[in-house]
Amino acid sequence: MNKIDLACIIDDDPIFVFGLKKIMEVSNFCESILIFKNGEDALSNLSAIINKDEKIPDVILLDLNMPIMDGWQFLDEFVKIEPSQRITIYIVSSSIDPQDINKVQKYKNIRNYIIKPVTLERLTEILKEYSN
Amino acid sequence: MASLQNNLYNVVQQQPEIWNFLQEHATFGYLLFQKNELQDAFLSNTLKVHLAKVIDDFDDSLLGLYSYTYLEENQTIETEFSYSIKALCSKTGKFQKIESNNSTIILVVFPLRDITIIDSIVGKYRFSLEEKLRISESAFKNNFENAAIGMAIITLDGKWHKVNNRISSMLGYTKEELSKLTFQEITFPEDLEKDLGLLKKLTNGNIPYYQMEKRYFHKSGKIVYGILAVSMVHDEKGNPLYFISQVIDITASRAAEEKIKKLLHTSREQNERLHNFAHIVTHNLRSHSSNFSMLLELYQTENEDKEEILKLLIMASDNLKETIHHLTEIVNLNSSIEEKMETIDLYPEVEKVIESVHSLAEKDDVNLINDIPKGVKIFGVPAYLNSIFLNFITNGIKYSSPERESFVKISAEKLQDYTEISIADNGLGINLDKHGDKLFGMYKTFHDHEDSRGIGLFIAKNQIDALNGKVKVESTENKGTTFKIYLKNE
Repeated sequence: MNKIDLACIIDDDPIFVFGLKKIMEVSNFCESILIFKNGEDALSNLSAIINKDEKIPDVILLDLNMPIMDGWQFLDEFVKIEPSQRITIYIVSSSIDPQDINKVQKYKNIRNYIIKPVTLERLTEILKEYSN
Repeated sequence: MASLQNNLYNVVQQQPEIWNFLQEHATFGYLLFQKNELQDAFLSNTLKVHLAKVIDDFDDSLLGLYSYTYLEENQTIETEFSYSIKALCSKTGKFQKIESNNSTIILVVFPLRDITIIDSIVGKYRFSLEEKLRISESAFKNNFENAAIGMAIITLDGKWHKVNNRISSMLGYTKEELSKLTFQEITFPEDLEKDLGLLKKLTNGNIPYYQMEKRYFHKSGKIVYGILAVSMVHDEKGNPLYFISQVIDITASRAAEEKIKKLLHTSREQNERLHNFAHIVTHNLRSHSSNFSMLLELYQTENEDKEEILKLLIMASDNLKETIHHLTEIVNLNSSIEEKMETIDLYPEVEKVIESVHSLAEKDDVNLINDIPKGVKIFGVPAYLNSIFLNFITNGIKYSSPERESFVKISAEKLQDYTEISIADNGLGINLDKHGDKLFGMYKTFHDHEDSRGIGLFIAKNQIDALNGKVKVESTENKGTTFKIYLKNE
């Protein structure tokens, strides 16, 4: 079974980030976590990591609705710098707008769309899914 | 005719000499009926000559134009002419009815000396004919003058030769004024070419008439929408004489149509706004509710950190309260405000707002300039206007650039129906390519600022919408932003 080494959360809601971090710890989801508060923050930091050839995240949990640069804008920019090693991206949003859910199909690097709240059970499933 | 004559030969025992003699010297004629309808009539030459004397334009071929009804002797025949002949028969003439081969022939023979009777009867006939013509002419004139639709006789060069009352009321000119104008002069320029093209085809005989929708200029300058139908009158030789035009005024129904379209547009817009709002509500409430359930799940599993989770639960509840407050504010915005609208003097209104944000501007060292000309007024709700200015001006202060002397300048220019209010700053600016479509969205922020909540512009936009206004934005990153607000003058 593949364990997730480094996971990355991109979300502007501190309460959600806190909760998700805790659930990740409880479910033993990964070794370490990177947190960015919006798309732009994530993009600049991730591109620096890629450029310096440091450890890149195995999984990104990406919120859609964020200030400055939202999830979609991040994805549009990120495909341009994404390294050959594939990063598994999950959309984690409270949006149940079918427009958002359908839009996922346009992005090949998105693994799945997770509607908030993220529960322990759901996170364990993701972990299983990733490992296989 | 040959078969008729054969019949007559039968009548005169097939002796042509007698027939010729009768035709030349006797005053007689016949009417041929078939199944009660007149098929033919014959008048002997002497009768014709006499009739020609008393009727100026007598033409025996005209007999065929009238429909005769055959009736038994002594019954009334309604058609004027046949009545006179019948009368002649019964009074002085010899009247004989002959039937053969489904045909009925009435042979009338009467002596010349009774011609005076014919005179009086034919005179009566003529009188009634003239009367009928007069009646139909006056009926036509009446019809023309008072028709519900516009009617006009137009000369070949386009002059209003004769117009009815409707045309003159429709276009606002008296008949006399119109007679000095051509239709070309008062046709909406964009419709003239089509009209003239069709008119040419009509004159050339390519088409028998035409119909088109066109616009005229009313004397007052406003546009009159009409449906025009044109046909042409020729002289005996086929040369064009003049045009006959009929115009139906559809301005009112056009206006109603426009109004309906506008209403439809408004309701579609409102519907869309409601739809968006429903999304905003579900999304924003969902994000809080999911936080609650996540924290509660943690609360149940985690042992050590209960205190911290509780703190976060309180924070989440405060956030929810704030969101609900914002949503309520927006709901109240969109409910009926028409009755609260009033005329507002812009300059003092802006002064008030500048006064209230004075300390904020001073802290960030931003110069606020009220450049609104005195006396410019708009139609709106004072509380909304205040909030709109407050939002745009504080926005300008919040996103001022620390690298230069900053300002926010408010100016206004009166346009035709709207007043354009500009709120210009030389601050950080916004990348409109990236954020343009979300600029006025709820909880959208574009700068990393401690006070950014993404609610100000959203509410301001909703308030402007509620006032039937519009807002536009121009911005260059690191140069500044100009918001242009369009509000109704009255």
